[in-house]
Amino acid sequence: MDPPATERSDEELLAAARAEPEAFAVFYRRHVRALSAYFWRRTRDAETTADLAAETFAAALDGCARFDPTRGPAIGWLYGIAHRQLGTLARRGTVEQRARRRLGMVRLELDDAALERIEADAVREGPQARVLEELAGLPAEQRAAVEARVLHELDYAQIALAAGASEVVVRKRVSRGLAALRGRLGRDEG
Amino acid sequence: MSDFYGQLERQLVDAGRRRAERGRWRPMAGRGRGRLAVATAALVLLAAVVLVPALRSESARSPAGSAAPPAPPGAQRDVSLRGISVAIFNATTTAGLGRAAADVLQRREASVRGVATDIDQDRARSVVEHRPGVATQARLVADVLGVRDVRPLSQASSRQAGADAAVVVRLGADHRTP
Repeated sequence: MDPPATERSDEELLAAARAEPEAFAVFYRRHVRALSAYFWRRTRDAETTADLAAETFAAALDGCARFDPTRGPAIGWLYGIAHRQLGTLARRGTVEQRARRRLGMVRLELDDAALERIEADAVREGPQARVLEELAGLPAEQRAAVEARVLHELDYAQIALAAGASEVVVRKRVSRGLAALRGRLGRDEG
Repeated sequence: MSDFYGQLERQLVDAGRRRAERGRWRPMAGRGRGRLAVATAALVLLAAVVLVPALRSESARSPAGSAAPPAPPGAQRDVSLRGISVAIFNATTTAGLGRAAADVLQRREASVRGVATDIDQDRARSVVEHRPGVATQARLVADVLGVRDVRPLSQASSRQAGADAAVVVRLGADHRTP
């Protein structure tokens, strides 16, 4: 028997999403506020944030069959989609709606209370959102090493063996990855 | 409408249901297909120019599916497998193969959730399968057992292994206990 959806990893949820819409809903609830905080920090506009979040999750649902867990974690894949949405916004000056149209989703109209709530959530979620976002932006080897060490709590010998590298190299990757994270996280606070 | 997150979730679930009913999922976007074709062509060229001469000098030894360099069985004696949950299936008719592998893994602190005879008892090559997100742990298990084939868990394997195990080992006729 499969574990309850809330206990499944992001990758398992995406793999199940084609047959179980509720699995994608769990994935959505897990990340929507952090992702919205990511968008809000870049746009400082709650309505644009909502539009970007809606299109990003629609694109993720639309393309979940293409997600390949062997190429990286789901969180990196999701923020990759988010990054492309921001690129489209920068180029065209408007948020893409293609994925929502393909899925038959209408654009949600928001009242002032909804916009205020999005903004308040974004401020509250800020730190966590930034860590995930910056982690997803690290070079692949550093990201894998930091995730294995910090999130999965593997020891250096385990990571080194799995990566086919020496412990010294893995320690450097973790160290450099964490230093890069610290640098990036401190960049906007100075 | 003040509950944006809830409303969006309902939209996504409804859209997912419609897709599931129609069975229409997009395996690859049009632009992706084009990129795939270019990437495939580039890989074929690379193989022809670089890899083929190199492979000629080497005996065929590494089956598809493995991302890590192979290690001889038992070479990594000090590596701990603490926190890694494993199910083991003996896919041969050799009695005791699964139990012996379980002992090897448990000595390295792996959490062996079960040892069973596989439905298929005629497997030639051993394989280590893993749930999403634990490829690193699967490669560690594979290295300790000397298995070279590491791949994501299939749905059928996932059901067979149950919810407890993150990594599934299927021992084939090629397996030698380290």
